[in-house]
This record gives sequence, structure tokens and C-alpha cells, in this order.
Amino acid sequence: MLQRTIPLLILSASGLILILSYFSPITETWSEQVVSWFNILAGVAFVLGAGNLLAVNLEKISSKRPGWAYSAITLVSFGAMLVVGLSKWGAVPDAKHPDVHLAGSQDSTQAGYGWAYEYVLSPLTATMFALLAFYVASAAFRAFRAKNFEAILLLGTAFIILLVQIAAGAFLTNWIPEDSFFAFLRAESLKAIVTEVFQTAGMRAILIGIALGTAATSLRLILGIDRSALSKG
Amino acid sequence: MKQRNEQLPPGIRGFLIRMGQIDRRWIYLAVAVAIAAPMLARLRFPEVPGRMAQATFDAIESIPPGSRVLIAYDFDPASAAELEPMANAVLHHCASKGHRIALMALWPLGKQLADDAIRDILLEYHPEKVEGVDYVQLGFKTGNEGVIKLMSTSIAEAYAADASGKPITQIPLLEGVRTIGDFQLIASISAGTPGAQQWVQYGDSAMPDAFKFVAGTTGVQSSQLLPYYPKQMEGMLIAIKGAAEYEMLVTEKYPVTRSADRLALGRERMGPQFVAHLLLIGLIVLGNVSMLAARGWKGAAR
Amino acid sequence: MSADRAQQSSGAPKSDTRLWIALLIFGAVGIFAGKLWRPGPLAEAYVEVVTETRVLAEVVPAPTTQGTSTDVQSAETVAPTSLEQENAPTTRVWVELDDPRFKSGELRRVEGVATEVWDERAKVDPKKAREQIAALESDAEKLSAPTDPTGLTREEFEAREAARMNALKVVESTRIVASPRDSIGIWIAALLTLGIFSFLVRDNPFYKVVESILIGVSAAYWMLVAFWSTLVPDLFAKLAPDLVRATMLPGLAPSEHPGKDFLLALIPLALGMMLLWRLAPRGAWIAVWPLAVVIGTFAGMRLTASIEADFMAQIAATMKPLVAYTSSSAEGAAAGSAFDLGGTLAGILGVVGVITVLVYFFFSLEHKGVVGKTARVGVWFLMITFGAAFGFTVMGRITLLVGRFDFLFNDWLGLSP
Repeated sequence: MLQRTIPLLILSASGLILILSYFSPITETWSEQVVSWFNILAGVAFVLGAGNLLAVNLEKISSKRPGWAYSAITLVSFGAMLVVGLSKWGAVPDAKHPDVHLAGSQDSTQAGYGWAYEYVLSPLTATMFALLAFYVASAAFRAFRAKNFEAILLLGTAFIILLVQIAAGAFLTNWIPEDSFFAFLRAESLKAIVTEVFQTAGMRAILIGIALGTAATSLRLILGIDRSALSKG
Repeated sequence: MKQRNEQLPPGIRGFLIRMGQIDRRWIYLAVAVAIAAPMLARLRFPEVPGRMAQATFDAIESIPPGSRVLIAYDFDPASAAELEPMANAVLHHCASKGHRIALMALWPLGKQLADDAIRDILLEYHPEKVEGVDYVQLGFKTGNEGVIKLMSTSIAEAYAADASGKPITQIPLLEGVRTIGDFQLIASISAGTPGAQQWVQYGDSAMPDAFKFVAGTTGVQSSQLLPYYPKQMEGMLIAIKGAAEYEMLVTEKYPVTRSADRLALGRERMGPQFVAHLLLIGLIVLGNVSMLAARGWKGAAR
Repeated sequence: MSADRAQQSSGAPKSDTRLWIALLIFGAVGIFAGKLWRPGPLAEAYVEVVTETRVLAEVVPAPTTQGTSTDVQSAETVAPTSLEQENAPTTRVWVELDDPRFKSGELRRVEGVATEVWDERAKVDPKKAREQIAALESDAEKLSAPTDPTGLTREEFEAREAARMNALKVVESTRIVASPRDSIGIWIAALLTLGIFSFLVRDNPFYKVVESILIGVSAAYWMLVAFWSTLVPDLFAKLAPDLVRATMLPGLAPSEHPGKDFLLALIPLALGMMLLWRLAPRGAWIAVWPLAVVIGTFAGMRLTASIEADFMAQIAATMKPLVAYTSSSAEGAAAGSAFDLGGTLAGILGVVGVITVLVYFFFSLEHKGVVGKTARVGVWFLMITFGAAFGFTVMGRITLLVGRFDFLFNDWLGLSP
């Protein structure tokens, strides 16, 4: 009962409130309430994520598993960041209430929190993603092989897009007169044809498929047909 | 098959096959050089604004000065290199046109980026703008699409106060603003989920005619958003190329006298793109030539 | 072949050494050439320091008889009245020391409360900072010389002197200084950036340390953002408004119905604590309740949103006239616009693409005969779609790397002109 039925009822109720509010403004305030709880729970999920990280790394350290020293580094940086951010260390006081320390702003590099954002978090996340530039080049070299017609289509389109996105595309095709029959071969037209005709059609079909799948899954969840999501928690 | 292969001198064939198996780190090095060299040489190319950049520009241009505009910073430092140039240009465009701007973020680190933009763009080029009257920073809220959903029926439920803690009832800019439908234009600078797609799904579909919606997007996410253009999304800026084109349109109409480089980032970053794209094309060709050399022409073309 | 490659990348010290040397030479030559070309220090950072001073003042109640006159005399006559009202609640505000309302008598300093003084440091672009510092120095030099009195009347001279002193005060109070804390920050950011890039050569302890820092800092940062931006104003402020107002959000507006707010906030509080129960070793089912709210809300939101935006709107967008004319506007059609071959082809291809790809996704039918051929065309459309997506992805990824190089070259090495 507590473990299965009530959660199912909660799930269906919150889902139905949201669906009803779409059709009738009467339930709008209910749906606002549910969504605002949803948003707060999303905030709690961040805390939960941090707690999970803590648990995993503490376990790694206490059992001295290989690489536990790295876990210690993670924990230390986690703890330091948390203390700095919760205490608003170095925060600039709020001009209207300079006596309330925690009302201060800690977004500039003057505060520990802002400093950590600017010089630790921001460069690290940005560089992590920048690595992908290297991988995409390596993957293009190794995996983009014209093995059959489909692969040639893939390759050919990638080629066209790579060319027309840079000035080389315009340079190579600018000699084609704009009012001639072959004007569609000019860089900007080629790009428009590939993206706005072919790519849009392909993505549109994918989108329709996903929408149908999403709607079906949502309905199965709300009607209690699919209970796997709540099975273990 | 063999006959054709024998036309290639064995030395060249062997070289081509070996090239196909080259250590990937040489490729990494080539990428680094292809990007660093044009950056140091300050390679620049002229841009011709495309249809989508023009549509974005027109959407912001077509609403009367004083309109309320909501700019959502739905990205973080990981894609800032790609999206910050267009976010900057959108902000400068809206401010120059005299729109009243609300900034917000659906991504946790987006608020910091919006703060930077207020300091480096808004107040740098428009020092006369007053917080609360000409612009307001709403900040970040957890909940992803839940935030949009809530804002589509009541902004006060989602944002009781702005980022500095000032109740939104005391902010002149938001006087009479009940839902996102009271904005004339919404721009989402989007790096993924939640972002432009959610704005279409939860914002634009809730009130299709209430506001214009434009998006700036990463190259990776662009294909996902294409089906929404132009019906659900008036304009769209795709990747750094879109930023460069739009930047040009904006600075042509609203030139700036100082710190102009902050509104030239898009065009600046197209230089390294040029060489890097050529390198990639070369790599693909080399990979295929090497495959053909190893397999024989006929076997490969099957 | 793959075994070959594995051997090459893992056990080839020779190739490694060559790479390191190549990288080192590339880097050293780059930095050296850059420094020769545009000399300047590494990791330059400047801030403009503004000292803020605030004092606590209370609003002097306006006298009932004299209206809202604000000259000094009326403020004096008001003083006794306000003394009588000592016990009435007064509005206290933090204001600048030279707030004009002190002079006009609207405000009165609260004695016994210390003045709050702090510095605000705003980062200034190094190039601009250098220019400004030079300008300030030359201004100060110019302004430090007393006004030449020849040919001036006494009034003119005094006015000039006063203006000079004022300008000098502004110049002297503008402080643009080098900021070691930001310079150190740039150095650390550069090292962390290089630490991540080192992974390209091979996995190494430096990379692992940097990665561990990233995991720890980002988890804490995300949690902090959620705490300050959502949990405090949307949950705690409703549960304990007075406490939150006194400690964290002094600007918090009083609620119209605090009792109802409090009761309603108990629900997310309870759900949130139940969600955190997941961390406990026992009672995993407790966390299922809040999960049910999350999943139910999400499903309810997505159901209508995806049907409307991604299903109906997309089908509507596909249904365009198959035969296009050069002008779609009414006047254009009236003027006899020409048949548009490109537009017509684009329209037809759009419909064909959507239908064939959908057929390909329709797995309930065996892909044979007509269905198979249609699905094959669908695959072609998908291939073109993915090819184009790859092209855009390359552009995106390259830009991210450009962004990092931008930081290394300009912020750290100072190679910008």
C-alpha cells in the first residue's frame, strides 16, 4: 500500500492535474502548485546528487580502493566549494542591507564563489567540451568511409556543409550567376536546400516519432499501465 | 581488382595505407595547429548574412521600442565560446532598439553568464540603462521545463523576486506582466535541454500568437530545432556562423564606439573555422584514399 | 588492424616522445614569438576599486501640520514632535554618508551603529585598464598645478579652483589597480586547462587530479546554485519568513497569507526530505513518493506539449501547397506570379522526406516490397540529415576549442594586440 499504491495514485493525480489544466483554466492554480513543487524537488535533486557523490567517494576512500586519493581530492574540493559558497565568503555586501552578510552578492571574483566559478569551474567545463573538437576530427578520419551509397550520401552532405559554412564555399561557387538555372548550386542556396529541405524533413519525421513515443509513454505512466518507473525507486 | 591496384606503385600504396593507421595524436596536433595558427595570424573573412540570421534580426527589429523582451541564458561555460557571441549581439540589439530586457537562466551556470553580459555588454555600451526599469536579472530557477510551464501561467509563481532578492512586484519593468505572454519577444540562447525546444513546447505552444520567439543555438543542437523554423520560431542563429552573420547585421545598424571586439567575437572565430574545416575535409579524403588503397578501388566502390 | 592501433597508442614510447617534443617546441616557439611580437606580462588582470560607505539612518516622520516641506528649518521644528513619537515604529535605511536627505532633514543618523565600509572591485579589460591608468596619471598631473590667476577675476579664479579640486578628487578616488588575486586565478585556470588537454597525449595523473577537482567543485556549485536560487527563496522563505528575512533575504516581501504559504510549503519540504532518504541505507521506498510527483508532473507536462508542438504543429508544417509560385502573397498572385520550380520541388521533397522516414520508423510492417523501397528512400533522407548534422557539429566543437585557445592566448599569455 505505502510502497506501491500510494505512489501510483500520486503519480496519476499529478499527471492528470497537469493534463486537465491544459483544457480547463479552473485547475490552473492546482497545476501551478504541483509544478512549483516539481521545481523545488528539482532543486532538492541537486542536493541529492551531491550527497550521492559524497557517499560514493567516501566509500572509495574508506575501503582504500585503487585511485582513492583522487576521491579524496574530489571530496576536498567539494567541501571547500561548499563552505565558501554557503558562508558567502568575501561576498560584496548588499548596498541596502550591508549589515546582513548573507544578503551579499558573491558573483564577482571578489568572493570565493565567484572566483571559483571564473577560474576553476568555467575553464574546466569549457575545456572538457573543447576536447571533443579533437575527437570529432579523429572520428571523421577513421569512421567516415564511403563504403556504400548511404555512406556516400552521409559523407557528401557533411562535405557540402563543411564547405558552405566557411568562406571557401562562396569563393568556389560565386561565379555561378544568381539568376541562372544552376543558381541552386551557389553556396548559400546549397546550404538552404540541405538544411531547410532535407534536414528539416528528416528531423521533422524523427520529431513526430518521438512525440508519439513520448505521448504513449506518458499515458502509460499516468494510467498506471507502466509501473516500472516506481518499482524500486 | 588486382590489376587496378597494381597501377599504384607499391611504395605509394604502402604509404597511403600507413597514413590510414597514423597515431591519432598526430591528428590532434594538426587540429591544434589548424586552430592556433589562424588565431595568431588574425585571419578574418567577410560574412554574408543568411536568411535565418536576417529573420532573427527582423524579429527583434520589428517590435516597437519599449517592448518587453525576455532573454533566456540556457547554456553554461561549456558552450559559451559558441553562444556568448550571439547572446552578446542579441542583448546589444535589444538594448539599442530601446526594448526593456528581462534576463533569466534555465541552466545553473547561465545566471553567471547573464551577469557577465550585463556588465560587459549592456552597461558597457548603454551605461544609461537602469536596473529594474530598462533591465532586470531574474536569475536561475531549478525545474527545467517546469519553470517555463509555471511562467506560462504565472511569472510571480516562478520568480517571486529577481536575482538580488527584490520582489518582482517592486520592479517597474515587470509591472502588469503576469505571464510570458506579456513579453513581446522571447529569445532563448540554447545549448540543449532545457532550452529552445522546451520554450517552443511549453511556452510558444501555450500561447502561439502572444510573442515572437527566436533562438540562438549550438551547431550540435541545430538539427533538433530546424523543424520549428519558421512557424514556431521566427528566427534562428546556428552556431558561430549564425552569430557572425547576426553580429554583422547588428553592428552595421547599431555601431559601437568602444570595446568593439566584444561584438566581433563571432567573426573572429570564423577564421580558425576556415582552416579547421579544410583540415577536416582533407582528413576525410585521406581516410578514404587510404581505405581505397588498402582494399583496392573496385572492392571499395561496391 | 585494430590490434595494431592499440599497440601503437599504448606501447609506443618513441612516438610519445616525439609528440611531447613537438608539443613543447610548438608551445615554446609560440610563446617566445608572441612575446617578441607584443611584449607584456602574463596573466594580467586589473580591477577598478570603488569604496562604498553606508550609514544607518531613520526616516524622520513628516510633521502633520506642515505638509511635506523639506527645508532645514522645518526639520528643526519637527525634531521635538518626533521625540514624542519615540516609541512609534521608524523606518530604518542604509544610505550613503552624503545623502541629500540628511541635509533636508528627512533622514537622521542612528547613533551607536557602526558605519559599514567595503570595497567593490570590478574587473577591467587589461588593455583598457592600462589606457585608463595612463589617462588618470596625466589628468592628475595636469590638475595638481594650481590655477594661473592672471587675467581672472576673484570669482572666476575661485570657481576654477573649486572645479579643479573636485576633478582632482574624482581622479584620486578612481583606483584602477593590478589584481593579484585575479592574476593567480588566470594562472590556475591556465594550468587546469592544460591539465585537461594533457589527456589527449595519454591518461595521466595530472589529468586525473584536475578531473577530480572538476567533479567536486561542480557538484558543490550546482548544489549551491539550487540552494540560493530556489530552496531559500521558494521553500525556506515560506516556512520561516522572519528568519530568512533577518539572515538571508532582507528584501523579502511580506506574504498576503503567510499561514497558507506555510502549510503549502510543508508538502515540498516533506517530499524533499523523503527524496533525500535515498541516501539512507534502508527504506528506499520512501523516496518513491517524491519520485512519483516528479514523474507524474513530467509526464503530464510532456504529454500535451509534445502532442501540440511536436506532433500536430509538425504535421501542419508539412502540409504545404505542393505547387509553389514565386510570390506567395495575395497581390503577387493577382499580378500573375510565375511558377516556382525550386519551391515546388522543395515542397514535394519535404513531404516525401517526412513520409518515407516515418515509414522507415514503422517497424510493425516488414520492410519488403513497396514498404521496403519507401523505407530505403527514408534512409537516404536520414543519411543526408545526419551528414548535415555532422557538419554543424564539427563547427560547434571547433568553436569550443577556439574559445579555450582564446583564453590561453589572450587572457593568459597576453598575445592580444
